Amino acid sequence: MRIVVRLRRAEGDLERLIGLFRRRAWQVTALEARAARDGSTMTVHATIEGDRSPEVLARQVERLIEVEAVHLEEGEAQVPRLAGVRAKEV
Amino acid sequence: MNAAAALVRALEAEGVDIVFGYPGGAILPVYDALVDSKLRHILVRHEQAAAFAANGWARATGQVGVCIATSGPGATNLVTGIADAFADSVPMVIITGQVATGLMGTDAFQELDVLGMTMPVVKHGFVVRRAADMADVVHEAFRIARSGRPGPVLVDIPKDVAYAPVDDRVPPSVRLASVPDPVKSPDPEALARAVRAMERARKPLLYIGGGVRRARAIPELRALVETTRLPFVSTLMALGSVPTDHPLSLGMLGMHGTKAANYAVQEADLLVCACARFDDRATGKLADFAPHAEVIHIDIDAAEVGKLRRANVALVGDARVALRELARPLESIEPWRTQCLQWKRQYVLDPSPRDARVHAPTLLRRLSDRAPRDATFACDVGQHQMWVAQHVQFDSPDRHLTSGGLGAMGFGVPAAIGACFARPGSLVITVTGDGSIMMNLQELATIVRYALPLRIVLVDNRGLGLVRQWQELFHEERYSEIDLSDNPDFVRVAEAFGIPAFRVDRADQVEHAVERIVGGPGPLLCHVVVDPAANVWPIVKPGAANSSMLDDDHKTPRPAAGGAR
Repeated sequence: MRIVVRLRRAEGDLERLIGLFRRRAWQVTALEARAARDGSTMTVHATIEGDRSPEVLARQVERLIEVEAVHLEEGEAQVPRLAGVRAKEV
Repeated sequence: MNAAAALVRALEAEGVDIVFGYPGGAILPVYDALVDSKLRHILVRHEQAAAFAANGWARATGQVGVCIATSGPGATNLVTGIADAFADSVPMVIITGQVATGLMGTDAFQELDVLGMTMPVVKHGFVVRRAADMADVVHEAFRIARSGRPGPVLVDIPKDVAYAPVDDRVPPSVRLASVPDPVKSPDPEALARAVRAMERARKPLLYIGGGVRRARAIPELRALVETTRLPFVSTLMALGSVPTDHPLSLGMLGMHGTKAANYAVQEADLLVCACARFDDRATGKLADFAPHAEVIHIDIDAAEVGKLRRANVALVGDARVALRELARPLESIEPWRTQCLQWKRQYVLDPSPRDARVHAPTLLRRLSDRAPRDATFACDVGQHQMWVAQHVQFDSPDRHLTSGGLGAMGFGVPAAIGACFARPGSLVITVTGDGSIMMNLQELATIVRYALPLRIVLVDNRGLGLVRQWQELFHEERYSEIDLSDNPDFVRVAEAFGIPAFRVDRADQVEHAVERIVGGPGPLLCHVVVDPAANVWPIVKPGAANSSMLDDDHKTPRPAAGGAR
């Protein structure tokens, strides 16, 4: 499972995201984080493992205040969204 | 003007007129600014009580509660109260002092990473790094705390930043209160599917959660009940959303719920979940919860939908819109309604006293009967909390302050202090236990300092009753560390603080006690001595299906046992 998250830079941003993965019972197996050149955002690419619903995880990530966009891939298929819920998309 | 003064000005702009706190070194600039402020500061005797009092005030008013503490231990002491607000979606802004920026990260005196420490229990957290940002951060904190699903927001302020000067000429935009984010309506197509599901259902049941009050959707919920005539069950947090004595109320569901509520959930073919979150205390064994039911899940928080139970229809957004749309007369559910009401009549919770000792449910029923309907009950955590949920009638969830998600002992007294400030002139009653009251006993001094007319009903079973009950029922009576029989004489303790107190230890004293609690002056502590072996019934074994609930008919009565004599 790969998740791509774009964060608006704020103190503790990366820690919040990684901590959320752990608290929601996902294990990070690979991680790359890179700040934008202008320093306003950071994009995180994470490979994660877990048994719970990836769609719920995506919505939990979206709930973080500084998260601007989330993209979730399971194999080749993107995880479906709830009807009427505007997802934060990369 | 320095940044601390800007903070105070921003709080005033947000409409804050009361804050709960405790001073210390790193927060000194803020306390200095308070001297020149119109804000009323309530000095508690422990920071945890500041957080709980602000939390109780916020629950009672629906507004953002504010608490203040210093760095390090001041902040750590706040954490339980913050976590409680997070668990029950209570809007709060928490202001903490921090060591000066140059000392941050050096293990300085009273330095702790409060931002990091609180991350799992706040909606968001800020460290104010620039004095010029102070007002903006405060307004943003209030916007976040109020918007969507409410919650606590931390504002950590390094001491040097708080002392730093800011421009007095504050732009008009930051002198105004923040505006919560607009709430989106649920998807129209999903709403149409929900309507069809309700029309199709033969055994629909309304499952009401605490989010309805946070969504300010109580009128819409009540209109839906009257229009559809749906039988309904409530979570602990939702009690009173529709008056608990409403004819269609089946009571609380879950671990200590009514049989009628749990049976109805088991038999329902459609569960209309109004802002509840399928908490394990409500569902019991999740796989066996509402096994025949489709689910319509209404919630403003998309992350709650599908977290524990798949929703057949998700209505994410404004609960008021969803409930209005679903409020249509339902045909063909009369047999089901009749069945539910028969369960309700058949399985009445029996509050009958068994002997001459005080029976807490009986006392609480009498208190509920005699107290004005606008009385506020603030509970601590344990058996007494469940007895309040079972036996006190509520017209509004805002009159029932209880630590639902976190289950934090020590909540009751300080939360009630917050309620006393929120509702001056109204009767506020704390129902607490001999375990819980000892966790914030020092706050009796706060009650006296501010002459709060709080009535404390202390249900004393000389032990940790709910833990003892679990050990009795689920650990083969292997009693472990539940004996509190060496507690002090609570009447003398209260009197030492300056609070009149009296003891009730016989059933025939209950009526007089209730009259004195309701009709006499406060503050007052009523020390109620109950049977240490009394249990809360029904009960569902943790992890078991709600349908397997036990009651005292299924259990041979036992004498007091173990250490809790």
